[in-house]
Amino acid sequence: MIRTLAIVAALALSLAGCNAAQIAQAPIGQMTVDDARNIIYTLKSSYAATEVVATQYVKLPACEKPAAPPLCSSAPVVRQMVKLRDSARAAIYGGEEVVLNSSASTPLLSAAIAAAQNGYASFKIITETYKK
Amino acid sequence: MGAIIPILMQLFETVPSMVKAGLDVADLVSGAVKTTKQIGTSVSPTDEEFKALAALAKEYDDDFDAAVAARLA
Repeated sequence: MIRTLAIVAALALSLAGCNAAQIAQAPIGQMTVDDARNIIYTLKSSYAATEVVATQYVKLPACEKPAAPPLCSSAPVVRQMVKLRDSARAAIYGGEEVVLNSSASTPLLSAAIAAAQNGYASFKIITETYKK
Repeated sequence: MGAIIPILMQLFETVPSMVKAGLDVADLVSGAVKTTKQIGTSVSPTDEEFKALAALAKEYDDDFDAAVAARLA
């Protein structure tokens, strides 16, 4: 466990200087298909990573049970997570379809990317809301 | 770019033990997102990489759905 903690700590430190928002700031009017492919690929990867954490939360013992441990999952939070996950998935998967259709126009690409970004942001927020 | 899948897989294997250890989930999500964004900015992904990511995402979608079904049953 100590080794794993050390790996995570090193990973966090190595990423501290990374401008994570850079890829999401491609100028809308100048967005190319390559830009859009990069963004949607990154969004989907981030979505998948976030979903793993959300799944772990859902699998925790229920908070509603008597003598629930401090680290537990709340049914209302789980229901909210499901709604936001479904929205994020629809937006990201839909955006991917648009982006992978190379004949899509720049405005359509931009709209698809914006929808995917917004969908993912909501899912990320609810997942981050859960703390030990 | 092709390295993203094994890195993600390693990340996914690590996250559950971190959650069990009581680490802050927001930090975990933030770290995971930064990792994928950092990797994803280099080169435009190929169609094969999109397919590989789609398979991985579907697996985790299914895991989430199964966990929710069990939790809310």
